[in-house]
Amino acid sequence: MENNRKKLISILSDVCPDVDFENETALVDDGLIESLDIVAIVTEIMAEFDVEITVDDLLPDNFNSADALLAMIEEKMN
Amino acid sequence: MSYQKNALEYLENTASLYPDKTAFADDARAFSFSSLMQSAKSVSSELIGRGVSLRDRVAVMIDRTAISLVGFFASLYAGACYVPIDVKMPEDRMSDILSQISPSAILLSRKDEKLADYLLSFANVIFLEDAVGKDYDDSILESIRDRVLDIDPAYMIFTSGSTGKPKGIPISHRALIDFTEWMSDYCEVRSDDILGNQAPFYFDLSVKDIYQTLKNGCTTYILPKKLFMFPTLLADHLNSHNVTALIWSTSAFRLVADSGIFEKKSVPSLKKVILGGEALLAKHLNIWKAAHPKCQFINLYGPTEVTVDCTAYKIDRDFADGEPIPIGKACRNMEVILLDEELNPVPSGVSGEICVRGIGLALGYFGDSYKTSQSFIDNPLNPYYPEKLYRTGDIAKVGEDGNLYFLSRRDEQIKHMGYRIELGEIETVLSAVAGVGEAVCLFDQSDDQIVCCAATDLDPSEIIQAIKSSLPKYMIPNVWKITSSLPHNSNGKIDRAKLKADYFAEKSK
Repeated sequence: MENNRKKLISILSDVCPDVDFENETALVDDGLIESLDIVAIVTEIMAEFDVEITVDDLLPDNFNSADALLAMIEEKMN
Repeated sequence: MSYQKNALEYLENTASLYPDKTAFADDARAFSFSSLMQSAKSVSSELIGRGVSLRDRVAVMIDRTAISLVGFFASLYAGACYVPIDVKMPEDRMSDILSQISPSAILLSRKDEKLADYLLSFANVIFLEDAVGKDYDDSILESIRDRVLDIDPAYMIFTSGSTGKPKGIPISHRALIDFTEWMSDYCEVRSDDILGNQAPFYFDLSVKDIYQTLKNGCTTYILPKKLFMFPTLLADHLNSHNVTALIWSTSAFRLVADSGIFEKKSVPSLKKVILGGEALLAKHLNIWKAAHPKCQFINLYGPTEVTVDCTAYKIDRDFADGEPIPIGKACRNMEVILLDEELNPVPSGVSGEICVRGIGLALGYFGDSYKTSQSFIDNPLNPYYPEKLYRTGDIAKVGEDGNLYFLSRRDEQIKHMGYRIELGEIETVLSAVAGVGEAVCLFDQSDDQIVCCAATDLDPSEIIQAIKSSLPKYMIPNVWKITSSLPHNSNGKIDRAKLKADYFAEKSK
């Protein structure tokens, strides 16, 4: 689980190197990530975690923090 | 029909025809045509009181709110030219633009008042919300309007400049009116159209939303930026407002097409989708068309220097994925000529640089007569009297169907996320970072990514930290190739061709 988190933070930091993904909890609401960032993040997550993210998953609550993203990924992995 | 010479006449006409109809609305506030006009007059009165006069520049600090538009029209009532500036722009870039234009006043929303102290070093700062509702004298505003010529600038938009400084492109009332009239006829915009605005107001694509709304009495909803990350919410928002027309950048269009949203839902009220900003791909068009078979799609082309657009194509047949989509033919009152490197016309079917003549040409580059003379040249095909021709730098050819087809650029300018960017501007900023020896930027069009190849010991995150006060986010490279040195050719110049070949070879492995 901790490994998944590390892997996710690494993916996120590659896409947006200047965002503090460890601590930010309002990534969408504060405008820290933008639409093309989300496209890149989703593409990487699908490749690295081998999960399917559909348009139904693209909701602000799933993208506001690394932990919210991780919860979505782990639910799909199980 | 009376002769129109000032863009404000659109606002005055619709305010009299549809006083209570919503003109522009954001999530928090809506302006009717009448309240927009009165608010603009109030703010203009404050501008005039603070010394703004004819042909001055007024900087309007904007975000995605309807009150920004009050600032635009207030500037016009004061006889000045408005310069939209994104409030979120990096400070160094903002300072550069403000220094270039020497504004007579700066209009700011109370919401962004933390910027006020910084802006005060450039000019008087007026808060839009404070000035709205103040008294104004119509006779003074009328006398000012009488003295504004139709060749005077109405607005000025800044775009990326290859030498590292953004460049200002002033557009006259005449050019703006001519474009607005053409677009309204060609795109068949009607008073019952409801527009969903995507383009930020510092981007000239938004000129279409703003002035089609004013000319035709439509309603424009300013779509919150966040919606473009979440396609389901975007579709729901468009449906809840019964949006009939989208005037969007091709990059936003592509993003929504790729999201898969149209497998789940569509926007049944949609009648027309008008695109521009970069090349339109058939695969994205086909996704939209399948979900909206009755919708008219229109592909427009043009740089800011020709007042938004100069060619147009109504999608009138099916295109197979991968088939090029034309940019069409010249708009009314504009001529497009394809010239070779010696500035001779090319035969039909042969590629040449798109050069444009007509009333829509910008007034030049603000404060830069050299750059103006390089791009706005004397028409070599007219030896009889001086006439300007704008060299776009875009290469195109005329196809067998008589339409123009965009092929490439002749320099290092790119279109990324809908923005026009000079890679040279990014390189200039990168090379100023302590610890970066040499840096070259490439563009990977298939993935829409800017690739930076830099000779440095620094990490990408350290470089980003250093450049983010100078460059907006869309100009920050997405892919970093850090090495100890860059390859050079026999002239001692960085070998861009090798870097490009190496990058794509590595990517295809």
